[in-house]
Amino acid sequence: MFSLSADAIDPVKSALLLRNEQSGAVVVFEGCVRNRNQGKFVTSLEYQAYEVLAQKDGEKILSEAREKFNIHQAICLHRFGHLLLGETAVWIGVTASHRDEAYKASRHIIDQIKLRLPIWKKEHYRDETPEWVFCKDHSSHVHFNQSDYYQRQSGLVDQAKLDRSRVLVIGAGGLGCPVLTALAQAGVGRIEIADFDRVSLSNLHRQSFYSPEVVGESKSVIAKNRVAELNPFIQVLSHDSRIDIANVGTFISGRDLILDCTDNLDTKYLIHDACFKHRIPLISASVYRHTGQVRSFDPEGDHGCLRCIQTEAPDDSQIGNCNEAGTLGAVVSAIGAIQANEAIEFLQSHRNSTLVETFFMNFSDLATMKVRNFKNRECACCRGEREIEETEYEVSLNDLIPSEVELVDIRNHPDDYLERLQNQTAKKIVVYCHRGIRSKRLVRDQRELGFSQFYSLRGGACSL
Amino acid sequence: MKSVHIQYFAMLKEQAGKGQETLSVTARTLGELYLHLTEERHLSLPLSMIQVAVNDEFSRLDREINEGDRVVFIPPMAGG
Repeated sequence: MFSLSADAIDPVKSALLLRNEQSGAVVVFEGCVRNRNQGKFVTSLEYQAYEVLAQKDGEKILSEAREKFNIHQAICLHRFGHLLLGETAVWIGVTASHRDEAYKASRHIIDQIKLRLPIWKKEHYRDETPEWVFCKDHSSHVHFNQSDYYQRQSGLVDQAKLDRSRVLVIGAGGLGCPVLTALAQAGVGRIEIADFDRVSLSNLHRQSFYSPEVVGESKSVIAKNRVAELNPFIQVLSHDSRIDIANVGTFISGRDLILDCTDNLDTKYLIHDACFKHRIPLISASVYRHTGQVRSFDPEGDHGCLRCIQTEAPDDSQIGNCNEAGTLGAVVSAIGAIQANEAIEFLQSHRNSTLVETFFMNFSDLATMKVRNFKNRECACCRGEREIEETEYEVSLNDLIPSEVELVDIRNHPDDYLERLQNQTAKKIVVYCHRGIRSKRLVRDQRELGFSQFYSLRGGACSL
Repeated sequence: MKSVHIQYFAMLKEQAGKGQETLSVTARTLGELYLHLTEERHLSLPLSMIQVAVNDEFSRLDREINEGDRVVFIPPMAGG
Protein backbone atom coordinates (compact mmCIF):
# COMPACT_ATOMS: atom_id res chain seq x y z
CA MET A 1 0.00 0.00 0.00
CA PHE A 2 1.36 3.37 -1.02
CA SER A 3 -0.47 6.52 -0.03
CA LEU A 4 0.16 10.20 -0.67
CA SER A 5 -1.64 12.57 1.63
CA ALA A 6 -1.86 16.19 2.66
CA ASP A 7 -3.03 15.14 6.11
CA ALA A 8 -0.67 14.50 8.99
CA ILE A 9 0.61 10.93 9.31
CA ASP A 10 -0.34 9.30 12.61
CA PRO A 11 2.48 6.85 13.39
CA VAL A 12 0.51 5.05 16.10
CA LYS A 13 -2.51 4.46 13.92
CA SER A 14 -0.35 3.49 10.97
CA ALA A 15 1.51 0.88 13.00
CA LEU A 16 -1.79 -0.95 13.54
CA LEU A 17 -1.75 -1.83 9.85
CA LEU A 18 1.27 -4.01 10.45
CA ARG A 19 0.35 -6.42 13.23
CA ASN A 20 -0.15 -10.00 12.19
CA GLU A 21 0.70 -13.36 13.66
CA GLN A 22 2.99 -14.64 10.93
CA SER A 23 5.44 -11.76 11.14
CA GLY A 24 8.25 -12.05 13.63
CA ALA A 25 9.74 -8.76 12.52
CA VAL A 26 8.07 -5.37 12.21
CA VAL A 27 10.34 -2.57 11.02
CA VAL A 28 9.07 0.99 10.92
CA PHE A 29 11.04 3.88 9.47
CA GLU A 30 9.94 7.49 9.88
CA GLY A 31 11.47 10.39 8.02
CA CYS A 32 10.83 13.59 9.99
CA VAL A 33 11.36 17.28 9.47
CA ARG A 34 14.53 18.30 11.29
CA ASN A 35 15.67 21.72 12.30
CA ARG A 36 18.99 21.95 10.50
CA ASN A 37 20.22 21.18 7.03
CA GLN A 38 23.69 21.97 5.69
CA GLY A 39 24.30 24.60 8.33
CA LYS A 40 20.99 26.38 7.89
CA PHE A 41 18.22 26.61 10.48
CA VAL A 42 15.15 24.99 8.96
CA THR A 43 11.75 26.11 10.21
CA SER A 44 9.42 24.11 7.98
CA LEU A 45 9.22 22.09 4.78
CA GLU A 46 7.00 22.16 1.77
CA TYR A 47 6.52 19.06 -0.35
CA GLN A 48 5.07 19.17 -3.81
CA ALA A 49 4.24 15.95 -5.57
CA TYR A 50 3.41 15.04 -9.13
CA GLU A 51 0.61 13.00 -7.65
CA VAL A 52 -0.42 10.60 -10.41
CA LEU A 53 3.13 9.67 -11.22
CA ALA A 54 4.27 9.58 -7.60
CA GLN A 55 1.41 7.23 -6.75
CA LYS A 56 2.38 4.89 -9.59
CA ASP A 57 6.08 4.99 -8.82
CA GLY A 58 5.44 4.48 -5.12
CA GLU A 59 3.34 1.38 -5.77
CA LYS A 60 6.00 0.09 -8.11
CA ILE A 61 8.75 0.55 -5.54
CA LEU A 62 6.73 -1.39 -2.96
CA SER A 63 5.91 -4.23 -5.31
CA GLU A 64 9.57 -4.47 -6.32
CA ALA A 65 10.51 -4.67 -2.66
CA ARG A 66 8.00 -7.47 -2.10
CA GLU A 67 9.47 -9.28 -5.07
CA LYS A 68 13.07 -8.70 -4.08
CA PHE A 69 12.85 -9.46 -0.37
CA ASN A 70 11.20 -12.22 1.55
CA ILE A 71 8.67 -9.99 3.35
CA HIS A 72 4.97 -10.06 4.18
CA GLN A 73 3.88 -6.42 3.99
CA ALA A 74 5.36 -3.19 2.71
CA ILE A 75 3.48 0.03 3.39
CA CYS A 76 4.55 3.58 2.63
CA LEU A 77 2.77 6.82 3.52
CA HIS A 78 4.16 10.03 2.07
CA ARG A 79 3.14 13.56 2.94
CA PHE A 80 2.83 16.54 0.71
CA GLY A 81 1.93 20.10 1.67
CA HIS A 82 3.45 22.22 4.40
CA LEU A 83 5.10 20.37 7.30
CA LEU A 84 6.36 21.78 10.59
CA LEU A 85 9.43 20.67 12.53
CA GLY A 86 9.08 17.13 13.96
CA GLU A 87 6.26 16.14 11.67
CA THR A 88 6.47 12.81 9.85
CA ALA A 89 7.18 13.31 6.15
CA VAL A 90 7.44 9.67 5.17
CA TRP A 91 6.41 6.54 7.05
CA ILE A 92 7.50 3.06 5.95
CA GLY A 93 6.36 -0.15 7.58
CA VAL A 94 7.62 -3.60 6.66
CA THR A 95 6.77 -6.99 8.14
CA ALA A 96 8.59 -10.26 7.57
CA SER A 97 9.23 -13.57 9.26
CA HIS A 98 12.70 -12.43 10.25
CA ARG A 99 14.34 -9.09 10.91
CA ASP A 100 17.07 -9.32 8.32
CA GLU A 101 14.77 -9.18 5.31
CA ALA A 102 12.54 -6.59 7.01
CA TYR A 103 15.45 -4.23 7.68
CA LYS A 104 16.82 -4.64 4.18
CA ALA A 105 13.45 -4.06 2.53
CA SER A 106 12.79 -0.96 4.63
CA ARG A 107 16.16 0.50 3.69
CA HIS A 108 15.62 -0.36 0.04
CA ILE A 109 12.22 1.35 -0.04
CA ILE A 110 13.38 4.65 1.45
CA ASP A 111 16.43 4.73 -0.83
CA GLN A 112 14.29 4.13 -3.89
CA ILE A 113 11.75 6.73 -2.80
CA LYS A 114 14.47 9.31 -2.38
CA LEU A 115 15.86 8.36 -5.75
CA ARG A 116 12.81 7.93 -7.92
CA LEU A 117 9.68 9.60 -6.60
CA PRO A 118 8.65 12.84 -8.34
CA ILE A 119 8.37 14.77 -5.10
CA TRP A 120 10.04 18.12 -4.57
CA LYS A 121 11.02 19.65 -1.29
CA LYS A 122 11.25 23.33 -0.43
CA GLU A 123 13.03 24.22 2.79
CA HIS A 124 12.03 27.31 4.76
CA TYR A 125 14.80 28.80 6.92
CA ARG A 126 14.90 31.07 9.92
CA ASP A 127 17.05 33.83 8.39
CA GLU A 128 17.24 33.04 4.67
CA THR A 129 15.06 32.74 1.61
CA PRO A 130 13.41 29.35 1.01
CA GLU A 131 15.12 26.91 -1.36
CA TRP A 132 14.04 23.89 -3.42
CA VAL A 133 16.18 20.89 -2.63
CA PHE A 134 16.35 17.77 -4.69
CA CYS A 135 15.79 14.48 -2.99
CA LYS A 136 18.29 12.89 -5.33
CA ASP A 137 21.02 14.98 -3.71
CA HIS A 138 20.42 13.14 -0.49
CA SER A 139 20.50 9.70 -1.92
CA SER A 140 23.33 7.42 -0.93
CA HIS A 141 22.41 5.06 -3.74
CA VAL A 142 25.46 3.84 -5.59
CA HIS A 143 25.24 4.41 -9.30
CA PHE A 144 27.23 2.21 -11.62
CA ASN A 145 26.77 0.72 -15.01
CA GLN A 146 27.29 -2.66 -16.53
CA SER A 147 30.80 -2.00 -17.82
CA ASP A 148 31.93 -0.97 -14.31
CA TYR A 149 30.58 -4.22 -12.94
CA TYR A 150 32.27 -6.46 -15.50
CA GLN A 151 35.47 -4.42 -15.83
CA ARG A 152 37.89 -7.04 -14.49
CA GLN A 153 36.60 -9.86 -16.67
CA SER A 154 36.30 -7.83 -19.85
CA GLY A 155 39.21 -9.51 -21.60
CA LEU A 156 38.24 -12.97 -20.44
CA VAL A 157 34.68 -13.54 -21.55
CA ASP A 158 32.27 -12.67 -24.32
CA GLN A 159 29.91 -10.65 -22.12
CA ALA A 160 27.20 -10.32 -24.75
CA LYS A 161 26.99 -14.09 -25.19
CA LEU A 162 26.70 -14.66 -21.46
CA ASP A 163 24.08 -11.93 -21.25
CA ARG A 164 21.95 -13.71 -23.86
CA SER A 165 22.19 -17.06 -22.06
CA ARG A 166 19.32 -18.70 -20.21
CA VAL A 167 20.21 -21.35 -17.66
CA LEU A 168 18.29 -23.44 -15.16
CA VAL A 169 20.04 -24.49 -11.95
CA ILE A 170 18.32 -27.45 -10.31
CA GLY A 171 19.13 -27.63 -6.60
CA ALA A 172 20.10 -24.59 -4.53
CA GLY A 173 22.15 -26.49 -1.97
CA GLY A 174 25.85 -27.16 -1.46
CA LEU A 175 26.62 -27.11 -5.17
CA GLY A 176 23.84 -24.72 -6.14
CA CYS A 177 25.03 -21.85 -3.92
CA PRO A 178 28.53 -21.54 -5.44
CA VAL A 179 27.23 -22.28 -8.93
CA LEU A 180 24.57 -19.56 -8.72
CA THR A 181 27.01 -17.07 -7.24
CA ALA A 182 29.56 -17.60 -10.01
CA LEU A 183 27.01 -17.56 -12.83
CA ALA A 184 25.36 -14.39 -11.54
CA GLN A 185 28.66 -12.59 -11.09
CA ALA A 186 29.85 -13.67 -14.53
CA GLY A 187 26.70 -12.09 -15.97
CA VAL A 188 24.64 -15.02 -17.23
CA GLY A 189 21.61 -13.03 -18.36
CA ARG A 190 18.76 -15.17 -17.15
CA ILE A 191 19.11 -17.58 -14.25
CA GLU A 192 16.31 -19.80 -13.01
CA ILE A 193 16.53 -21.66 -9.73
CA ALA A 194 14.46 -24.76 -9.01
CA ASP A 195 14.40 -26.24 -5.52
CA PHE A 196 11.47 -27.60 -3.51
CA ASP A 197 13.37 -27.79 -0.25
CA ARG A 198 13.21 -25.66 2.89
CA VAL A 199 16.35 -24.41 4.60
CA SER A 200 17.34 -26.66 7.49
CA LEU A 201 19.94 -26.15 10.21
CA SER A 202 22.06 -28.98 8.85
CA ASN A 203 22.44 -27.09 5.53
CA LEU A 204 24.08 -24.01 6.99
CA HIS A 205 27.66 -25.32 7.32
CA ARG A 206 28.04 -25.66 3.54
CA GLN A 207 25.28 -23.64 1.83
CA SER A 208 26.44 -20.05 1.87
CA PHE A 209 23.13 -18.34 1.02
CA TYR A 210 21.42 -19.43 4.19
CA SER A 211 21.72 -18.16 7.73
CA PRO A 212 19.99 -19.36 10.90
CA GLU A 213 17.26 -16.70 10.54
CA VAL A 214 15.86 -18.30 7.39
CA VAL A 215 15.62 -21.90 8.61
CA GLY A 216 12.29 -23.29 7.42
CA GLU A 217 11.96 -20.92 4.48
CA SER A 218 11.96 -21.74 0.78
CA LYS A 219 15.47 -22.25 -0.57
CA SER A 220 14.58 -21.15 -4.08
CA VAL A 221 13.14 -17.84 -2.85
CA ILE A 222 16.04 -17.02 -0.50
CA ALA A 223 18.56 -18.06 -3.15
CA LYS A 224 16.84 -15.89 -5.75
CA ASN A 225 17.01 -12.86 -3.46
CA ARG A 226 20.70 -13.42 -2.72
CA VAL A 227 21.56 -13.89 -6.38
CA ALA A 228 19.57 -10.85 -7.48
CA GLU A 229 21.43 -8.74 -4.92
CA LEU A 230 24.78 -9.78 -6.35
CA ASN A 231 24.18 -8.51 -9.85
CA PRO A 232 21.53 -5.94 -10.81
CA PHE A 233 22.09 -6.53 -14.52
CA ILE A 234 20.64 -10.03 -14.76
CA GLN A 235 17.21 -11.59 -14.44
CA VAL A 236 16.70 -14.16 -11.69
CA LEU A 237 13.63 -16.37 -11.27
CA SER A 238 12.73 -18.97 -8.66
CA HIS A 239 10.63 -22.11 -8.83
CA ASP A 240 9.65 -23.60 -5.49
CA SER A 241 9.05 -27.03 -7.00
CA ARG A 242 10.35 -30.55 -7.17
CA ILE A 243 11.49 -31.73 -10.58
CA ASP A 244 9.55 -34.82 -11.54
CA ILE A 245 8.67 -36.80 -14.62
CA ALA A 246 5.59 -34.67 -15.29
CA ASN A 247 7.26 -31.25 -15.18
CA VAL A 248 10.86 -31.89 -16.20
CA GLY A 249 10.22 -31.27 -19.91
CA THR A 250 8.65 -27.88 -19.26
CA PHE A 251 11.43 -26.87 -16.91
CA ILE A 252 14.31 -27.61 -19.25
CA SER A 253 12.83 -26.70 -22.64
CA GLY A 254 14.03 -23.45 -24.14
CA ARG A 255 17.02 -23.16 -21.82
CA ASP A 256 20.56 -23.02 -23.19
CA LEU A 257 22.01 -25.10 -20.39
CA ILE A 258 20.87 -27.07 -17.35
CA LEU A 259 23.02 -27.35 -14.24
CA ASP A 260 22.31 -30.40 -12.13
CA CYS A 261 23.18 -29.53 -8.54
CA THR A 262 20.88 -32.14 -6.99
CA ASP A 263 21.86 -34.68 -4.39
CA ASN A 264 20.28 -37.97 -5.41
CA LEU A 265 20.70 -40.38 -8.29
CA ASP A 266 17.01 -40.71 -9.13
CA THR A 267 16.75 -37.01 -9.88
CA LYS A 268 20.14 -36.92 -11.58
CA TYR A 269 19.12 -39.65 -14.02
CA LEU A 270 15.71 -38.09 -14.57
CA ILE A 271 17.35 -34.77 -15.51
CA HIS A 272 20.00 -36.53 -17.60
CA ASP A 273 17.48 -38.58 -19.58
CA ALA A 274 15.17 -35.60 -20.09
CA CYS A 275 18.05 -33.43 -21.33
CA PHE A 276 18.92 -36.05 -23.96
CA LYS A 277 15.29 -36.46 -24.95
CA HIS A 278 14.78 -32.70 -25.31
CA ARG A 279 18.31 -32.12 -26.67
CA ILE A 280 19.37 -29.63 -24.01
CA PRO A 281 23.00 -29.46 -22.80
CA LEU A 282 23.64 -30.43 -19.17
CA ILE A 283 26.43 -30.09 -16.64
CA SER A 284 26.21 -32.40 -13.67
CA ALA A 285 28.28 -32.47 -10.49
CA SER A 286 28.34 -34.68 -7.42
CA VAL A 287 30.33 -35.09 -4.26
CA TYR A 288 30.98 -37.94 -1.90
CA ARG A 289 32.84 -37.05 1.30
CA HIS A 290 36.25 -35.79 0.11
CA THR A 291 35.72 -36.52 -3.57
CA GLY A 292 33.83 -34.77 -6.29
CA GLN A 293 33.17 -35.06 -9.99
CA VAL A 294 31.97 -32.85 -12.84
CA ARG A 295 30.78 -33.91 -16.28
CA SER A 296 29.13 -32.07 -19.16
CA PHE A 297 26.75 -33.55 -21.71
CA ASP A 298 25.83 -32.20 -25.12
CA PRO A 299 23.13 -34.27 -26.85
CA GLU A 300 24.28 -32.87 -30.20
CA GLY A 301 27.91 -33.68 -29.43
CA ASP A 302 29.99 -36.80 -29.71
CA HIS A 303 30.91 -37.71 -26.17
CA GLY A 304 28.14 -40.01 -25.03
CA CYS A 305 25.91 -40.14 -21.99
CA LEU A 306 25.68 -42.03 -18.72
CA ARG A 307 23.64 -44.79 -20.36
CA CYS A 308 26.38 -45.52 -22.92
CA ILE A 309 28.20 -47.65 -20.39
CA GLN A 310 25.44 -48.53 -17.95
CA THR A 311 22.04 -48.92 -19.54
CA GLU A 312 20.31 -49.14 -16.16
CA ALA A 313 20.66 -46.39 -13.61
CA PRO A 314 22.22 -47.42 -10.31
CA ASP A 315 20.11 -47.16 -7.22
CA ASP A 316 21.29 -44.67 -4.66
CA SER A 317 19.92 -46.54 -1.69
CA GLN A 318 23.32 -48.22 -1.51
CA ILE A 319 25.55 -45.20 -1.70
CA GLY A 320 25.86 -42.17 0.42
CA ASN A 321 24.42 -38.75 -0.20
CA CYS A 322 25.21 -35.75 1.98
CA ASN A 323 22.88 -36.89 4.73
CA GLU A 324 24.60 -40.17 5.46
CA ALA A 325 28.09 -39.81 4.06
CA GLY A 326 28.85 -36.32 5.27
CA THR A 327 30.22 -33.46 3.26
CA LEU A 328 32.26 -30.34 3.74
CA GLY A 329 31.57 -26.78 2.57
CA ALA A 330 35.04 -26.36 1.09
CA VAL A 331 34.66 -29.51 -1.02
CA VAL A 332 31.19 -28.81 -2.45
CA SER A 333 32.08 -25.15 -3.00
CA ALA A 334 35.20 -26.07 -4.97
CA ILE A 335 33.33 -28.61 -7.08
CA GLY A 336 30.49 -26.10 -7.59
CA ALA A 337 32.99 -23.48 -8.73
CA ILE A 338 34.42 -25.91 -11.28
CA GLN A 339 30.92 -26.77 -12.47
CA ALA A 340 30.13 -23.06 -12.91
CA ASN A 341 33.39 -22.50 -14.76
CA GLU A 342 32.48 -25.31 -17.17
CA ALA A 343 29.10 -23.65 -17.70
CA ILE A 344 30.65 -20.27 -18.45
CA GLU A 345 33.02 -21.90 -20.96
CA PHE A 346 30.20 -23.85 -22.59
CA LEU A 347 27.82 -20.90 -22.89
CA GLN A 348 30.39 -18.98 -24.90
CA SER A 349 31.82 -21.63 -27.18
CA HIS A 350 29.67 -24.77 -26.90
CA ARG A 351 32.84 -26.49 -25.76
CA ASN A 352 34.50 -27.28 -22.48
CA SER A 353 36.86 -29.89 -21.14
CA THR A 354 34.35 -31.95 -19.16
CA LEU A 355 32.35 -32.72 -22.30
CA VAL A 356 35.36 -34.76 -23.37
CA GLU A 357 36.60 -35.99 -20.01
CA THR A 358 34.90 -36.38 -16.65
CA PHE A 359 36.83 -34.53 -13.97
CA PHE A 360 37.40 -36.13 -10.59
CA MET A 361 39.12 -34.66 -7.61
CA ASN A 362 40.04 -36.11 -4.25
CA PHE A 363 40.36 -33.28 -1.77
CA SER A 364 42.16 -35.31 0.88
CA ASP A 365 45.33 -35.40 -1.22
CA LEU A 366 44.36 -32.95 -4.02
CA ALA A 367 44.72 -35.75 -6.58
CA THR A 368 42.83 -35.14 -9.79
CA MET A 369 41.82 -37.59 -12.47
CA LYS A 370 40.33 -37.10 -15.91
CA VAL A 371 38.53 -39.98 -17.58
CA ARG A 372 37.70 -39.82 -21.26
CA ASN A 373 33.94 -40.10 -21.79
CA PHE A 374 32.72 -43.09 -23.77
CA LYS A 375 30.15 -43.03 -26.54
CA ASN A 376 28.22 -46.12 -27.49
CA ARG A 377 27.00 -45.70 -31.09
CA GLU A 378 23.98 -47.88 -30.34
CA CYS A 379 22.85 -45.91 -27.28
CA ALA A 380 19.12 -45.06 -27.46
CA CYS A 381 19.42 -42.38 -24.79
CA CYS A 382 22.04 -40.45 -26.80
CA ARG A 383 19.74 -40.51 -29.80
CA GLY A 384 16.88 -39.14 -27.71
CA GLU A 385 14.87 -42.32 -28.20
CA ARG A 386 14.83 -43.51 -24.63
CA GLU A 387 11.58 -42.93 -22.79
CA ILE A 388 11.99 -41.12 -19.51
CA GLU A 389 11.02 -43.28 -16.60
CA GLU A 390 10.73 -42.51 -12.98
CA THR A 391 11.40 -44.97 -10.27
CA GLU A 392 8.09 -44.63 -8.54
CA TYR A 393 9.23 -46.24 -5.35
CA GLU A 394 8.88 -43.06 -3.36
CA VAL A 395 6.06 -40.72 -2.40
CA SER A 396 6.16 -37.39 -0.63
CA LEU A 397 4.23 -36.63 2.49
CA ASN A 398 2.40 -33.83 0.68
CA ASP A 399 1.10 -36.20 -1.98
CA LEU A 400 -0.59 -38.54 0.47
CA ILE A 401 -4.30 -38.68 1.23
CA PRO A 402 -4.50 -40.06 4.78
CA SER A 403 -7.58 -42.19 4.21
CA GLU A 404 -5.96 -43.97 1.26
CA VAL A 405 -2.69 -45.02 2.81
CA GLU A 406 -1.35 -47.12 5.62
CA LEU A 407 1.83 -45.63 7.04
CA VAL A 408 4.21 -48.25 8.46
CA ASP A 409 7.40 -47.65 10.43
CA ILE A 410 9.60 -50.60 9.47
CA ARG A 411 12.01 -49.99 12.31
CA ASN A 412 9.54 -51.27 14.85
CA HIS A 413 7.20 -54.05 13.84
CA PRO A 414 6.07 -57.63 14.60
CA ASP A 415 7.66 -60.52 12.71
CA ASP A 416 4.71 -61.26 10.47
CA TYR A 417 4.08 -57.67 9.41
CA LEU A 418 5.32 -58.08 5.84
CA GLU A 419 3.00 -60.96 5.14
CA ARG A 420 0.06 -58.95 6.48
CA LEU A 421 1.00 -55.97 4.31
CA GLN A 422 1.40 -58.13 1.22
CA ASN A 423 -2.18 -59.26 1.67
CA GLN A 424 -3.45 -55.75 2.30
CA THR A 425 -4.28 -54.47 -1.15
CA ALA A 426 -7.06 -51.98 -0.45
CA LYS A 427 -4.69 -49.17 0.49
CA LYS A 428 -1.27 -47.93 -0.54
CA ILE A 429 1.33 -49.13 1.93
CA VAL A 430 3.78 -46.33 2.67
CA VAL A 431 6.78 -47.63 4.62
CA TYR A 432 9.45 -45.53 6.22
CA CYS A 433 12.60 -45.76 8.30
CA HIS A 434 14.87 -43.00 9.60
CA ARG A 435 15.94 -41.53 6.27
CA GLY A 436 13.90 -43.56 3.82
CA ILE A 437 16.85 -45.57 2.57
CA ARG A 438 16.13 -48.99 4.06
CA SER A 439 12.42 -48.52 3.34
CA LYS A 440 13.17 -47.80 -0.32
CA ARG A 441 15.19 -51.01 -0.52
CA LEU A 442 12.26 -52.90 1.00
CA VAL A 443 9.85 -51.39 -1.53
CA ARG A 444 12.11 -52.37 -4.41
CA ASP A 445 12.22 -55.96 -3.13
CA GLN A 446 8.44 -56.08 -2.66
CA ARG A 447 7.81 -54.66 -6.15
CA GLU A 448 10.05 -57.32 -7.62
CA LEU A 449 7.94 -59.91 -5.81
CA GLY A 450 4.89 -58.37 -7.47
CA PHE A 451 3.44 -56.33 -4.60
CA SER A 452 2.70 -53.04 -6.26
CA GLN A 453 0.97 -51.42 -3.28
CA PHE A 454 4.31 -50.64 -1.57
CA TYR A 455 5.78 -47.13 -1.54
CA SER A 456 8.55 -45.59 0.48
CA LEU A 457 8.22 -42.25 2.21
CA ARG A 458 10.71 -39.85 0.62
CA GLY A 459 13.05 -38.53 3.29
CA GLY A 460 11.86 -41.10 5.85
CA ALA A 461 10.88 -40.27 9.42
CA CYS A 462 12.89 -37.06 9.10
CA SER A 463 10.20 -35.71 6.79
CA LEU A 464 7.34 -36.44 9.21
CA MET B 1 47.99 -64.13 -15.65
CA LYS B 2 47.95 -60.45 -16.53
CA SER B 3 49.39 -57.67 -14.50
CA VAL B 4 46.97 -54.76 -13.99
CA HIS B 5 47.20 -51.57 -12.02
CA ILE B 6 44.00 -50.99 -10.07
CA GLN B 7 42.84 -47.73 -8.55
CA TYR B 8 39.91 -47.41 -6.15
CA PHE B 9 37.86 -44.26 -5.91
CA ALA B 10 35.71 -42.65 -3.19
CA MET B 11 33.90 -45.19 -1.02
CA LEU B 12 35.66 -48.11 -2.73
CA LYS B 13 38.95 -46.68 -1.60
CA GLU B 14 37.66 -46.63 1.96
CA GLN B 15 36.46 -50.22 1.70
CA ALA B 16 39.60 -51.56 0.03
CA GLY B 17 41.70 -49.74 2.59
CA LYS B 18 44.03 -48.54 -0.16
CA GLY B 19 43.91 -46.20 -3.12
CA GLN B 20 45.71 -48.44 -5.57
CA GLU B 21 47.56 -51.69 -6.11
CA THR B 22 49.11 -53.77 -8.87
CA LEU B 23 47.81 -57.32 -9.14
CA SER B 24 48.32 -60.37 -11.31
CA VAL B 25 44.86 -61.52 -12.27
CA THR B 26 43.21 -64.37 -14.12
CA ALA B 27 39.91 -62.53 -14.74
CA ARG B 28 39.06 -62.20 -18.42
CA THR B 29 36.87 -59.08 -18.31
CA LEU B 30 36.68 -55.96 -16.16
CA GLY B 31 33.40 -57.18 -14.69
CA GLU B 32 34.98 -60.47 -13.65
CA LEU B 33 37.88 -58.59 -12.12
CA TYR B 34 35.49 -56.45 -10.06
CA LEU B 35 33.59 -59.52 -8.81
CA HIS B 36 36.89 -61.10 -7.81
CA LEU B 37 37.81 -57.93 -5.92
CA THR B 38 34.47 -57.68 -4.12
CA GLU B 39 35.50 -60.86 -2.32
CA GLU B 40 39.21 -60.18 -1.99
CA ARG B 41 38.84 -56.57 -0.93
CA HIS B 42 35.40 -56.71 0.71
CA LEU B 43 33.79 -54.17 -1.63
CA SER B 44 30.10 -53.71 -0.89
CA LEU B 45 28.73 -52.29 -4.13
CA PRO B 46 27.18 -54.61 -6.69
CA LEU B 47 28.61 -54.66 -10.19
CA SER B 48 25.56 -52.86 -11.57
CA MET B 49 26.51 -49.69 -9.68
CA ILE B 50 30.12 -49.40 -10.71
CA GLN B 51 31.68 -47.39 -13.47
CA VAL B 52 35.05 -48.44 -14.71
CA ALA B 53 37.76 -46.56 -16.55
CA VAL B 54 40.62 -48.26 -18.36
CA ASN B 55 43.68 -46.31 -19.42
CA ASP B 56 41.85 -43.03 -18.67
CA GLU B 57 38.70 -43.84 -20.62
CA PHE B 58 35.29 -45.03 -19.42
CA SER B 59 34.65 -48.55 -20.54
CA ARG B 60 31.94 -51.19 -20.53
CA LEU B 61 32.34 -53.91 -17.94
CA ASP B 62 32.48 -56.66 -20.56
CA ARG B 63 35.71 -55.29 -22.02
CA GLU B 64 38.61 -57.74 -21.96
CA ILE B 65 41.61 -57.05 -19.79
CA ASN B 66 45.00 -56.53 -21.42
CA GLU B 67 48.43 -56.78 -19.86
CA GLY B 68 49.40 -53.52 -18.19
CA ASP B 69 45.90 -51.99 -18.15
CA ARG B 70 45.33 -49.19 -15.69
CA VAL B 71 41.88 -49.82 -14.23
CA VAL B 72 39.90 -47.44 -12.04
CA PHE B 73 36.70 -48.49 -10.28
CA ILE B 74 34.38 -45.56 -9.63
CA PRO B 75 31.25 -45.75 -7.49
CA PRO B 76 28.33 -43.43 -8.23
CA MET B 77 28.29 -40.15 -6.32
CA ALA B 78 25.09 -38.40 -5.46
CA GLY B 79 25.85 -35.72 -2.91
CA GLY B 80 25.34 -32.08 -3.62
